[in-house]
Amino acid sequence: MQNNFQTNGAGSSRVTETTPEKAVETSTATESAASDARFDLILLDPAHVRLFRTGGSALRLTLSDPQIGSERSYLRVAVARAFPLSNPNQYIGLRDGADKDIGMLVTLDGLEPETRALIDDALHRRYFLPRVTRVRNVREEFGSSTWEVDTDKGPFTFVVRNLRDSVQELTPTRILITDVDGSRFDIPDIRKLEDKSYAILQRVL
Amino acid sequence: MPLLEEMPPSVDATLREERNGSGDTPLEVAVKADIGTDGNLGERWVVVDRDRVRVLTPNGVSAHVDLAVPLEDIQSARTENLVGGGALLVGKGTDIVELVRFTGPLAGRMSGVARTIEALAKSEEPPPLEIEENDRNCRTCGRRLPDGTQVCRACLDKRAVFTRLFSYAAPYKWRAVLLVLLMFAGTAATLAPGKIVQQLTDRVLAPETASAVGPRLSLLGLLVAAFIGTQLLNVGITIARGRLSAWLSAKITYRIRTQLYERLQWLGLSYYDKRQTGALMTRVTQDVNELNNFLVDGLQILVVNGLTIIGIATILMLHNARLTLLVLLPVPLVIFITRRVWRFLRRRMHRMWHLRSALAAGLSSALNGVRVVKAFAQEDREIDRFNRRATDLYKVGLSVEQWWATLFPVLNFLMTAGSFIVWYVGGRQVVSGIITLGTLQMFLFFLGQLYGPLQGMTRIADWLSRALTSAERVFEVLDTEPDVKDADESVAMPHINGEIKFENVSFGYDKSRRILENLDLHIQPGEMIGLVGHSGAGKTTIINLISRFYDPVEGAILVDGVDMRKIKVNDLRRQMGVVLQEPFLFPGTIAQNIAYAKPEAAPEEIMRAAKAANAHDFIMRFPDGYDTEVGERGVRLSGGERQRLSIARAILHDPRILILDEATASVDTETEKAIQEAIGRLIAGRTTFAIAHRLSTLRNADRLLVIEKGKLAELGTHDELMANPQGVFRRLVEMQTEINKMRVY
Repeated sequence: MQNNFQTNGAGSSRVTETTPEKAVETSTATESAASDARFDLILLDPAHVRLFRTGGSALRLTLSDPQIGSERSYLRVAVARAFPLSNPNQYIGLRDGADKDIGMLVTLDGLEPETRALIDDALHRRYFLPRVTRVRNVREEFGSSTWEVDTDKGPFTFVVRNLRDSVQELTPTRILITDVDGSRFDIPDIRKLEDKSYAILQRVL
Repeated sequence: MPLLEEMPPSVDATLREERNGSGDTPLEVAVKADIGTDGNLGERWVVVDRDRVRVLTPNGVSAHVDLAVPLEDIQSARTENLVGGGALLVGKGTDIVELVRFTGPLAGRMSGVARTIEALAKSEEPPPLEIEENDRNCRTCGRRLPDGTQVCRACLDKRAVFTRLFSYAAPYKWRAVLLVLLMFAGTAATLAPGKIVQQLTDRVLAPETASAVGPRLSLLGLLVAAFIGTQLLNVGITIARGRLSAWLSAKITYRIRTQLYERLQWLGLSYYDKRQTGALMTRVTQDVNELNNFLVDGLQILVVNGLTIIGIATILMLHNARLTLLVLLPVPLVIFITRRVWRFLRRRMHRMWHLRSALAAGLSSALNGVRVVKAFAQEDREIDRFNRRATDLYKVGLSVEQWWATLFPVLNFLMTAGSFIVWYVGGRQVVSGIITLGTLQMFLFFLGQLYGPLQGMTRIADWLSRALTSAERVFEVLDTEPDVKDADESVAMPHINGEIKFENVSFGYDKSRRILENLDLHIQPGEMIGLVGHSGAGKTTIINLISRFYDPVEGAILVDGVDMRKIKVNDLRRQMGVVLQEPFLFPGTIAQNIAYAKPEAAPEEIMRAAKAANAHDFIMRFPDGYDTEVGERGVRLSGGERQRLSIARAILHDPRILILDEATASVDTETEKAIQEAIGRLIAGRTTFAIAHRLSTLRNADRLLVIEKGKLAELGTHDELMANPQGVFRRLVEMQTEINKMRVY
C-alpha cells in the first residue's frame, strides 16, 4: 500500500499529482466539471451513475460526464448513508477504494434498475441495525438487563448495562438501544409495538 | 486451538464428504459466523484446511457449501468494518471475495481468522492466537460479566469473601469480640422494656387480685427506675457500639484502601490498557466506601435487626404461641408489598435523577458555550430547550412526590395490621382470662418494635450482595500480580551506559495482533535515534518497550548487553527520562514539578535545569516564581511552557536513556526553536529516542529509524536516507516540504 502517502485515493483513475494550490485555482475557475472532490460537495446525477459487480464481491463504478464526454471508472466502490438514522433513503455517498468521497446521490430515484439493485444490496450489507418488532422479556438483575427481542433480522438476546446511558431517544417515540458489545437495536416507533412489548418498555424505561 | 469450534453434525458430515480427496490433514479454522446470506441472523461456518477455505450453511441433515476457494488463489485476507457488524474478505487476484458477514461481537475473532487464512495462503505457519474472551461471560452461569472484572454477582462465593473481609479484623480481634457482645447486650436492652411494661400492667396498674396501694406504688417506682435504667443502658451501649464499630471499620477500610492503591501503583501498564481509569478510581473510592458503609452500618443493622427479630419472636412464642403465629401472619405480605413499593418508587426516582442530571448537563454545556449561543443569537432556543427539560423534571418530580405521599401512609397502615389482630384476638383472650392485660400490652409493645427491623431486612439481600461484589472487586485487584516485575535473579545496574540492542523483538498489546515483528536494532551509547513512521506504525510501541512498560512477546531487548527483564526495574527507570507530547504536571509548585523525580534537589539544581530548558525566564516572570502553583487549580501554562518544564524535569533527572515523544508537536515555530535548543542541551551524551511528525525536528538525530507496519523499513543517517529516491523517508520529507510551502502563503 505505498499509495498511502498520497492524499488521494488509490483505486481512482484520476490524476492526483496536482499541488493543493493548483487544485484551488482550477476549482474556482471552472465550476462544476472540474470541481475537486476534496473541497466541493459533488452531487451526482443518477443518470450518470452506473455500478457493476466484479467477478467477486467488489463493485465498480462508472461515472459518465457529458460535459467532458468521457467516463471515469472507480474500483472497489463502497456506499454510505449520510444520515443513516434520520434519513436513510436519501443522500447516499459513493466512496472509492481508499474510502474517499466520489460524490453523493441525493436520491436513488432515476438510477438504472441494475445499479439501483446493487446500491440497495450494498446498503443492506453495510448497515446491520436490527429493528425490534417485539420485546419478549427484559430481566433486570444486578444493575444490568437482559433483553429477549424479535427483530427483522431474527431473534436476539442481549445484555444492556446502565440502561439510562444506553438508550438513545432519537425522537420521542423512536429509541436506539446499545448493548454491552456496542451492538445497536432500533425501535422505530415504540407505540407501534404490540401491547405486551409496550408494557415491558414502559416498565423498564 | 482457539479457532476450532465444535461444528454441528450437518456441517461436519458435509465437510467430511467434501474433503474426501484431501486426506486427513487437520482443520486450521472452523468458526461460526452469525449473519446469513440474506443479511439476517443465520449460522454459517468458515472452515479452513491446508487446501482451501470453505463456507458452509447448515441445512437440515447436511450443509450447503456456499463457497470453496483454494488457498493458492488467495493473496490476502482481512475483515471489513461495517455498521453493526463486519465482513470477512479474501483478495483473489485483483478481485475481492466476501466469505461471510458477522455481527460486531465476532469482529475480534474474525480478524484472527483473516490473519490465519493469509498466513496459510502464503504458506507460513498461522500466527499464534490467544484471543482473550474468557472475561466476557461468567464461566459458571454464563451471565455477562461487568467490564474489567471477573467477578460475577450471581456466582460469587459469598462465604469466602466474607471470611476474607473479616480476616482484616483479625489484628483487632478482642475489639471485634467486644463489639459482638455489645450487639447482644444492646438487643437485650431494647427488648427489656417490653417485659417491664408487662410487669407494670399486671402488678401495678391492673393487678388481677386487688392488693394494697403502698407496695404497688413502691413497685411502680422500682419499675419506672428499671425502665429509665434500661433506656440509659441502651443509650450507653448504642454509643459504645457505634464508636467501636466506627473505629474498627475505619481501620479495616484504611488498610484495604492503602493496600489497593499500593497494588495499583505497582501494576504494569498493560493492566491499565484493559481498564478505564474511571473504573479503577471507582474501586479505590466507591467500592471501598461501599465496604466502609457496610462495615459501619450494614453489618450492625443486619446483626442487631436479626437478633431483635429472633428475640421478639422467641419471647412472644414462649408466652403465647397461638397469638404469636396470628400476629406474624401478615409479615410475609408486608415484606412482599414493601419490596414492591420500593421497586416501584425506585424506578420513578431513577427517572427523576436521570432528568435532573440531564438538566444539569444541558445547563453546564449551554453556560459553558454561552459565547457561541450569543454569537449565533440562539438565546431563545436555549431557553426553550431548558424549559422543556425543566418541565419534564417538574412533572416526574411531582409524580414521585405524590406517589411517595400516597404509598407511605398505606405502608404504615400495613405495618400496624398486626396490632389489629393483637387487639382483637388478644383482647378476647384477656377478656376470657387466658392471658393477662400485661401480656397484651407486651405484645403490642413488641409488635411496634418488630416492623422496623423487618422493613430493614427486606433490603438486606441487595445490600449484602452490593457489599460483597465491592469486596470481591477490591480483592481482585489485590490478587493481580504485576506482569512487569523483577525476576528473581535480577541484577542491579546502578550505572547504565546506554547501549541498546533489539534482538528479534515481536510485540502486540493484545495477543491476537502483532504491532512489532522481528525487530533487530543496535544502538550505541549516546546515539540519538529518530523514529519515523505513520501513526500506528509502532513508534510509540518501541518506546513503551524501551521504557519496559511492557515486555516483548518474543525476542529480547538488551541494555549494555543484559536482558532488560533481568535488570532491576527501579534501576532501569531511574536512568530513563521521558518528555511527552502533552506533559503531565502534578498539582503543586513549578519547583516541585521539576524536581518530581528528585525531590531532594537543591534550589540551584532546579534553577540550573530550568535555565538549560529555556524555562527560567518565563518562570521568573511569574509573581510567585518557582513557587507558582500549577495543575488543576494553579496557573494555566501554555503548551510550550509545560513542555519546557517537562524538559527541565528530564534534565534534572539526568537519565542515561532519554525518550522524546512528540516533544514539540503542540507548539508554534518560535517556541519550537526554544524547545529545540533546550532539547539539544538535554540530549548531549545520552542515548536518545525521539519521535516526531515534524521531520525537521529530527535534524540532530544521528540515525533515523523508519518503521512501517511494525517492521524496520529504513535505517541510516539523514543524508543516507535522502539519497535513496525511492525511500520512504525521502517521500515523507518531500511531502512535508510541500505542506510547509503552503503554510507560508
